[in-house]
Amino acid sequence: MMIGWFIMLSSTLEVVEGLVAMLTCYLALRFYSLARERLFLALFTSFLILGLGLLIHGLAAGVVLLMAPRLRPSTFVLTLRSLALTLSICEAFAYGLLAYSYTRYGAPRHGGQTGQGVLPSLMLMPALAASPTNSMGQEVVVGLVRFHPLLEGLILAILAYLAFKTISNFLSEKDVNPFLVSFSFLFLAAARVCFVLAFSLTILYITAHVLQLLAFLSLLIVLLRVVRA
Amino acid sequence: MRGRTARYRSKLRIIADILTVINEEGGAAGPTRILYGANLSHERMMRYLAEMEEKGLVRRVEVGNRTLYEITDRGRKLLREVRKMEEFLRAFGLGI
Repeated sequence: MMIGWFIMLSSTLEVVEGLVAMLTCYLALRFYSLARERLFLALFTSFLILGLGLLIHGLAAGVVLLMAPRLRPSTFVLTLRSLALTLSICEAFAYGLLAYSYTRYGAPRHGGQTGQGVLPSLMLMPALAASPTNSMGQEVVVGLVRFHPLLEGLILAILAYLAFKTISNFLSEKDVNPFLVSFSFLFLAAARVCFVLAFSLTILYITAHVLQLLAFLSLLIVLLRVVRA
Repeated sequence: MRGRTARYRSKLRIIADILTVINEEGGAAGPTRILYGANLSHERMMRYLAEMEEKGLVRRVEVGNRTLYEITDRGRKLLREVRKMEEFLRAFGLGI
């Protein structure tokens, strides 16, 4: 019951966030076709990967949840863990590329980890009953939708850097759009802190998602203001 | 690679500057006004204006014995896009 609610909430919000990321990606592509600047290509790639990651994870996790009664517990867990790994890699790469755009120094890297977090989940499998959604405790749930605290920590470090850069920009510009962008990255970083802590305190997972949604809504307002400018 | 980027940037920026001058003059401006407003040499300005005319961003009109350059709808659209692009970059604190 709990896991179903968690995954459905996570999926719905990720789809909304993914759509905002895709809108940003479209705008960056439009500007790239105008200016032929590599910066816009980097922004396009970054938000495309982020958007795809969020949409794929959101939609696929929703489908897996709907099919849960017909899935074996091991298949259920492995599918969700694979999706969580995909999302984490997409986020790390996308935010890394964005950070690279700010520094224009060095190559973007993503912190993929191969299977480190899968093992603990597999060890839990014998305890799972026939219907996977009814048998898991809250503490296991976050591990299904988020891959590993270390990978989340890496993304947090990148987001903290982006928040620092955008807040610095706001302090020099003192305008609405820079404020909204800095607010967005600050909330993304705060959400990531909650995602990391949610591995031990599940309730923070909801807080994290609310913060992340606020961050993307803030970004959406910026996009609408830019388009209407 | 950076050199190529810089060339594109300056070209788009110069075109936007020329369009801004014409737009601020009420939609049509003479070469002298454009030359000072966009801070270009005469030769460079004429080269840009010829290219912009060819791309349909401006059109040349003769008023009496004066030559004016009018901004076209396509030129206005490009100017709006450039402004959006600049606002987008300013929001993120990025610059080209």
